[in-house]
Amino acid sequence: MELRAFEPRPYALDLADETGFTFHTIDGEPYWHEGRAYQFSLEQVEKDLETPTGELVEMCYAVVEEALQREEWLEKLAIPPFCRDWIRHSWNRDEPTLYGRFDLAYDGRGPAKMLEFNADTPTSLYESAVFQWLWLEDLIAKGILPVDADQFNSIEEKLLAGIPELGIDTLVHFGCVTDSDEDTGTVRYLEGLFQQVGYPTELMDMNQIGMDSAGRLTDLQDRVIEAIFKLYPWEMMVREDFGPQLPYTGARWIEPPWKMLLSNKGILPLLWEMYPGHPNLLPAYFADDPDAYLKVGSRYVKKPLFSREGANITLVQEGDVLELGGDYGAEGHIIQAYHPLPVYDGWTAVLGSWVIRGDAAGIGIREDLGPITTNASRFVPHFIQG
Amino acid sequence: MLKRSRRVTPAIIGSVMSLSLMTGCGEKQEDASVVESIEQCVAIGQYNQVQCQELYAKAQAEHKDVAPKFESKADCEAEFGVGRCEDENGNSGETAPATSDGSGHTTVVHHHSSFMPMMAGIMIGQSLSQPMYRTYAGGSAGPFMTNRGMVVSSTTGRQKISRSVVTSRPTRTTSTLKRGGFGAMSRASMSS
Repeated sequence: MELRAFEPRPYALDLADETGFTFHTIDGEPYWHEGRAYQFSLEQVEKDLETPTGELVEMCYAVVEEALQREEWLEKLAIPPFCRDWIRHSWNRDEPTLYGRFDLAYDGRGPAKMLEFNADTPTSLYESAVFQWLWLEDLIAKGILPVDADQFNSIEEKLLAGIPELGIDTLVHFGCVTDSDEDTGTVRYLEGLFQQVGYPTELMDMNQIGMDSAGRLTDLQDRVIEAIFKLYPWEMMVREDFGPQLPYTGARWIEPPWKMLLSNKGILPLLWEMYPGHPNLLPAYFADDPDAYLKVGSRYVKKPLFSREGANITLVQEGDVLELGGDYGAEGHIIQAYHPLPVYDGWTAVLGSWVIRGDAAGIGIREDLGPITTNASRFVPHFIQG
Repeated sequence: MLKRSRRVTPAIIGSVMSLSLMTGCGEKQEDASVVESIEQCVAIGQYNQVQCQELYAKAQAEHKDVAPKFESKADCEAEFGVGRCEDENGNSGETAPATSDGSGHTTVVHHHSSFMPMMAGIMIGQSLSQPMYRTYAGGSAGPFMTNRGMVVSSTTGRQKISRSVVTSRPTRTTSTLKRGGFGAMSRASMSS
């Protein structure tokens, strides 16, 4: 894994605007950055990223299986009691998952370490699946990269093959926070893929979802919502007004309810308990474990069970404390051994490893100036050569 | 073997590029059939008597849930033709029927919106069947439509029909009591 410098294509941002990747610049700062790219060997991709990602998926599923049989684990994961049978039902019926993204610490040497699993509401999907692909093809066409250059990115191919496997035979609704360009762009991209496969679709804001007298969910045209893709966290939905009705709506959800267990940082200590010493895991403990701080050592990261974009993360190194603000943390915390992210020319890189229908499907790399990846990070393309 | 997709879809829906691609790019079509009776279904030669009865029964069962609803019979007949509307119990009479509430007392149940067009036929595609409806204006029937008014075909028999219509069950409609039960905890972006 090496950093390479490239000349940005002068038309790249115009192209992004035209394709609908309008969030290439966020708050005036470049989000899409092609002045540099990461080069991997095929062996690194297959041995260090693809295979371990598949293994991590299997281990995560084993944790779900175990947790659903242990009330005290569900308690630790702060899963509200009214949801538990509903989640068990969703898992036992094999309700299909479409996608997820592991965040990994990897520098080309040694095993990739799982930082967390964005199992419920991952974004950076379009830029991973499409825009970095277009970048690669362009650079090959211009002769800047050789014709045998490749990319670990079959994300769209796997999405198009996987959507028909979800077993949906109705109109598919899409729900997100439409005020967010990034979220809407991500959902619109997926909506387009569902349409390609042959589904009629309808996009709506989460707060437009209605309920009828039978407790079924409805859209703005009073149609019953039978299948819905939502880019909105389960842990919030179950705590909002319609939450208690969720087990009875009759709707098919993507991602399914059992993903609620995996998008939770509490799976990190549970994974470590079931697979202690696994090369792709970092030691992790629940913060209320009396021996947690003793076991984790003097360098660790404290994360709320529910947190997004780096909010409320605390990094402790030999007494030095770096803390990011936010509104998360009421449901408890975990602590994870600190594994420094690699720094390339001043920027910290975190690797997002995509999982489509349970299979490793590709990567997207984000860089940030600090040691914690936030929503101010930037996306940088990658390629395989050698 | 390549580690990347052979092709991708550059255009996000609603973008400049997706709008320019939409013209001239027709929707995918699929083989399906429109029939007005079980006999017609058998005559196509793809399904036997029993299968046709099942396909018809399935569509008929769905019909009550999904058919467009009207508050009065007159409103329904204005669109779908005189004598071509029925109430939720399949009666085409003038008044809502008397029903028993099980306690021995007989009550007349007034439904809020209880009239719907009769099923004009069914569409069969990939072993899914769904009800078809036809409007009537000036004594002539319009094309076969889905419950949402999407035109499917003007003729019966086997034909090419838009894939999104063939592979999806018809949507059911209802009355929304409340909205806004999700989204209250939302911050600027919900993703990760």
